[in-house]
Amino acid sequence: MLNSFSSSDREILAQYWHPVCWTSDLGEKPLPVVLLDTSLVIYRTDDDIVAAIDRCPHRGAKLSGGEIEKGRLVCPYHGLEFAEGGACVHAAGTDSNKIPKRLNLQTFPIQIEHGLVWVMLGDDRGAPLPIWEELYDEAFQTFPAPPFDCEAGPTRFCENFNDVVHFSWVHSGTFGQKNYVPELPYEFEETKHGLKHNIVYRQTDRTDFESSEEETTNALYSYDFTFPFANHMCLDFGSDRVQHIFAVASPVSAETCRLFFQFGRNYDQDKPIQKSLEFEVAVCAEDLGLLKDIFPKSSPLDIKEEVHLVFDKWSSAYRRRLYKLGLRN
Amino acid sequence: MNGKTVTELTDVLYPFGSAFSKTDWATLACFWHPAAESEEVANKPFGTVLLDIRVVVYRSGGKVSAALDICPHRGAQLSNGEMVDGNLQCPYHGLRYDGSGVCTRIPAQKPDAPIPSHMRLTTFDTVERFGIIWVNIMGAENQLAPLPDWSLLEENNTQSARVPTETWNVNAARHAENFNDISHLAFVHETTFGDVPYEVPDYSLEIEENTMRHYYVDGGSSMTFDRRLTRKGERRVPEVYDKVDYEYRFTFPFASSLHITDPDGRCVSIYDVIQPISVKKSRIFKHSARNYNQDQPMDDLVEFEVEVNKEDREVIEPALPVHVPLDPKEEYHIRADRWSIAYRRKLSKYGMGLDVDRVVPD
Repeated sequence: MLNSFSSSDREILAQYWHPVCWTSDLGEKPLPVVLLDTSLVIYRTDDDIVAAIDRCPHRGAKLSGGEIEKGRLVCPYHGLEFAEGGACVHAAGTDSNKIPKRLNLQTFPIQIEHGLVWVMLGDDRGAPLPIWEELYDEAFQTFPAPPFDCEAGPTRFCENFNDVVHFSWVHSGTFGQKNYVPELPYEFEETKHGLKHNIVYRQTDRTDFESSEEETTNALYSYDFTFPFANHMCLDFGSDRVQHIFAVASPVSAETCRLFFQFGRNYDQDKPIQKSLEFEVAVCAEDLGLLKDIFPKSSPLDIKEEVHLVFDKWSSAYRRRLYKLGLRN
Repeated sequence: MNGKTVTELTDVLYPFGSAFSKTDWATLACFWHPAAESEEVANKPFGTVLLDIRVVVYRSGGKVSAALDICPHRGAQLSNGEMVDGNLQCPYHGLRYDGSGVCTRIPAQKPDAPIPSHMRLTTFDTVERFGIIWVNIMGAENQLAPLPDWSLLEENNTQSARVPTETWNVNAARHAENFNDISHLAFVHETTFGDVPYEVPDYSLEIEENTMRHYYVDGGSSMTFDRRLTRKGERRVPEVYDKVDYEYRFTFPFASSLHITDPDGRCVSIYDVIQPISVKKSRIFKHSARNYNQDQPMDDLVEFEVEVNKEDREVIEPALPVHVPLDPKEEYHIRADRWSIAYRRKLSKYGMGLDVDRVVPD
């Protein structure tokens, strides 16, 4: 696989936890994923989830093309079997107590949180996972979207998620009010592990997904971001109608990412989620359509490289913080 | 452009990962290249790729403009935006740019707030002529050759039609050589041109500063002139003329025309110019023209040209190496190749081929 990150950028990003799949994706089959240009296989044994390099140490076969049998990952080439912790426990013609240690898989620490499997590829620098308490609030009905693949780097995605002006151009087909600009500047705060900002946006009323563009409602959008790629947004429509959007970008490469979205709502819980989900998928498609043509595909972290406007407080602070972490792209 | 030298502009614009060497790229960027058909740029901006860089072409205030197809604010693709009040509007945050690339409006700012002076597009010089919008990345003052002189196309007694523009997986110089090559006609174009003698006549070749011309008189097939008489799929024994004039005119780097005149003075012309998208991808702009049968539709002539194109494409798309090797020792030449030998020599003189990497096909 080609290296899309510089080696120092990759080393820094590898010190953070990144999600690679939903826990519910793991079943009868090993799952291939790519994280930071590295091909991994994720598989479930009887009481463990393992993340390992997706290559058999014996003859280089792609392990995710194999099977899971009796809680063991079986290589598709010569049938070597790997159990908990990636240990090779069976190799044809070899006494099980004489299997060379070098046949054990190179594995990585994992964590299960927010319904996702998170992987640590490098030396953990101790950065916390996002704290998404609202996912566990019983007043909220939560549901995930299918994962999206974004043809732009994770930095571009996060900047887009936290951008408050693009709605009026990119999302005029769903909830954005054409040409309308919210009151600027917005409230903005830097925290130890993240960024926070909020704004009132006069959006198209989507209470029943049928109102015309003329019907608007003022919503308070509060954002709570956790470095490097975890986004959370709370939409308060008034009258105790509150929605949450959780979206974390998994850095597949410097120029592509996989997005894991979850939604929560404290209203309409008697109604099916389908319409709501369709709407969110349409919003995301608008963003991904714009992002696939963005250039360069990863945000330039040298602050002088693009022009920053008053509403770019968030993205310019984001770039400065990433730069401070040592990222250069 | 912006008072910068070619070297400075190359440092800024030479695209990362381009299969053109840096010197080849800088040399080609000093020529005029077609970037769009006139009709393609109307009420919407038009996005294309020239020499591996993204270019947006748009009309503003009665003139045509071209710029790097990247918004300087957050990198969005401007050609996905729209034209609003004669300004190009970015699809991301609605920033607008006028015909000279100056940002005229930032909707998210108060109307009286200043617009940063560096919020402007990297623009390129354009000329609209012969139904084509031509772009010179390095600017008119750095041009290595003027536009081709296709003024015959604009004369009153000429009837012309566009052959549908096509994008081929071919190197631009390979295509130019093929257009001006005579010895392939008998093999590649038997179906369309009829019987062409294998032996290549000893053509005259003139080499000027930015142009070349080669011509000969030979027998010719009536299929070229009386296309209308041959119904599709019908194999007809064509009438053969003893004396037909063949004249090729070429302007560097990629603009060709061929004028075929029969003993009665009937002339069919083909105009062909190539937009080098990348080393191995080209967009081919073509016109067919004639000075007779002016009351007749041009459909048959265009259709004929489309078929000729298809025959060429099958042969030159898979040709290797992808680029034209400028080192004369790298391919073999015969006497009939005097044109392409001169062409390669001249490209070297312009500064190309100094650091050629072999381009590997996909």
